[in-house]
Amino acid sequence: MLEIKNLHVNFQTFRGTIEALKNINLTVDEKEVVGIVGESGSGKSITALSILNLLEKNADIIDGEISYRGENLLTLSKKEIQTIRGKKIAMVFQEPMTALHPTMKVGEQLSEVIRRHRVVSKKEAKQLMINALKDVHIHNPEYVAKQYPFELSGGMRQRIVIALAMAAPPDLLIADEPTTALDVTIQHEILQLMKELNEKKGTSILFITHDLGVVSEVCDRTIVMYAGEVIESGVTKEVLYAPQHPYTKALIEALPDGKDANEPLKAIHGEVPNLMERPAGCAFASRCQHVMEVCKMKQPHLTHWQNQHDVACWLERDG
Amino acid sequence: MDDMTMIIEMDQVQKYYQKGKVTIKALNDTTLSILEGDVLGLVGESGSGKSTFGKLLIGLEHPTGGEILYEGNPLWKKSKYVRRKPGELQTVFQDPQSSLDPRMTIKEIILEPLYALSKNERKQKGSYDHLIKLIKRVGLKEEYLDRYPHEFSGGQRQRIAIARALITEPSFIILDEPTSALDVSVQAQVLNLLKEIKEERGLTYLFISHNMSVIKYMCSKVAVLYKGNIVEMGETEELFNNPQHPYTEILLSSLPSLIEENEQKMKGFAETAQSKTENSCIFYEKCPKRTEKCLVGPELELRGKDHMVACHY
Repeated sequence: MLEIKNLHVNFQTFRGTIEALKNINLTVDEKEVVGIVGESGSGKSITALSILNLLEKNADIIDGEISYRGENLLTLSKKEIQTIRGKKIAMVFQEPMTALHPTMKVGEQLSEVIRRHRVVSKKEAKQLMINALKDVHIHNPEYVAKQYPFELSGGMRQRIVIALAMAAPPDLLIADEPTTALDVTIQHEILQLMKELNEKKGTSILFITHDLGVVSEVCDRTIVMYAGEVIESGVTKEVLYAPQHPYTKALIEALPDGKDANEPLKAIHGEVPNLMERPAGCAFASRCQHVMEVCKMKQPHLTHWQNQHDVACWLERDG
Repeated sequence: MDDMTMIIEMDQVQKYYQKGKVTIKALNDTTLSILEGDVLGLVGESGSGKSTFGKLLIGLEHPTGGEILYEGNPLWKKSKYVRRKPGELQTVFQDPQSSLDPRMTIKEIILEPLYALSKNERKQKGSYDHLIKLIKRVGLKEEYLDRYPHEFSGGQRQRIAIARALITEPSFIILDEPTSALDVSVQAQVLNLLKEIKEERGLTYLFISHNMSVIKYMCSKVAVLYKGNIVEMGETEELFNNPQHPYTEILLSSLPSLIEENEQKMKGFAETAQSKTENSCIFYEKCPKRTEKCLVGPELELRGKDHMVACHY
């Protein structure tokens, strides 16, 4: 349904050009939940923003193609992309407070969005709005609809934002760290809600997060990004339980989950390379334990390994 | 127990905020003690009073009731914070972006806490050798000293904050969400560093976090806070393997984790909220196990070795 091919994005800054995304390839199929994981600066949000053409002015899409049902989104005019934004592809952001209008009752906001996307009367819109609130498990929708965003808790707000995003309803929902600002117990409820929307309404979800635990809970397929490149992708279970790229392995090792408290954590030494001066070879080479000569000279490309599992690494692996 | 030194003793400590006619109980009758060498973890969701707890200890807020003893001496006299030995208590905050003054060099930042000390001590602890040793210990380089905070990444900034906390050679450090603004790979570096330093210097930590995996890895004891009340407290192993309070159970099961492959069912809050009354259990509103008995709130009681629970069941 959504396919990104060879996407390159650069940012022009005073200090030089930042190669934020390099050669991104990924697909999202119908009814699929795909997760993009990576640390800050890995380019996961930039990928999401470039799908809806929401990048800042200093960003240049150098090369590549983003096609949605056969249509290249990058060549569309401003007007044309607006018929897709929100209607076909919707987005949920991290901080629910900034995504809502602060001086407008949430019910009104939701009705407005519904009327924008569907041809309905005001009365019908109100009914649809109440139903939409019920869909996101708000128990007393009539009451909540009359409240302002500041009167609601973080979890409630994020439910409203999801209801807004689902108003059209879209084919694809892009969720950029939707639960990062929430408490774990609330996070769990929101994740369950998103899973349910995916199962009931068949909405595909592109889920962007830095949390491997969240990925394992909701995503069918996982894409791991590092320094603006996709370094591994595959079925979630395979990527998390049989990771092939040394970075993915190291990332899972570095989590404190279930580790012996008497052993030090296996931290990844060093830091992410400066994207203004990308190394010639693999971006992870300077931090990698298995680094070889070839890694410093030539960049590995994402290549097929087995069953949908792709890896960008020079190391030899069986199978 | 008696042969170990108590660093912190809290007795019925309260912190109420008055907002018009409404009283907000940020921290309610908290009684606990921290022994020398402990790492006490404080968990709870936002608004549960975790940070208030830390603020009372370092004197940013004053308690509205109860008493806090530091090494046997009261920390607060009326509403005045008493520093018997300046620099004994230090803090590392969550966000290294906002906790370092952008207009000061790294050297100035790290040396600043010494101004609370006597001239002699300042001279000794602020010597160049001492500073360099410390800088290297936390994994920074000598040439960083004249740079400014914006030149560093999140992980490095947190190392600077740790160095600043260590310069006065404290015996007790409050770590308020020290890694929640950091990436996983950097978080591991910082956690390792904190653990090593604790061992080397025999420090005591109060570790505030909402991340249960981090708590489990770092802490020897854990206290679970819910709306300003300690609902459960105990040794880490015991509390994680044998949680007694319904809220602790929910907290533990809602953590998305890579380890639990066999999808254990998440324990949820009660379907419908019941409004609580003045005397009811603090968790009554959302508790899946509530009964009529819970309308009269339970007290913290001992259940097993060092394991305290505030629940009727």
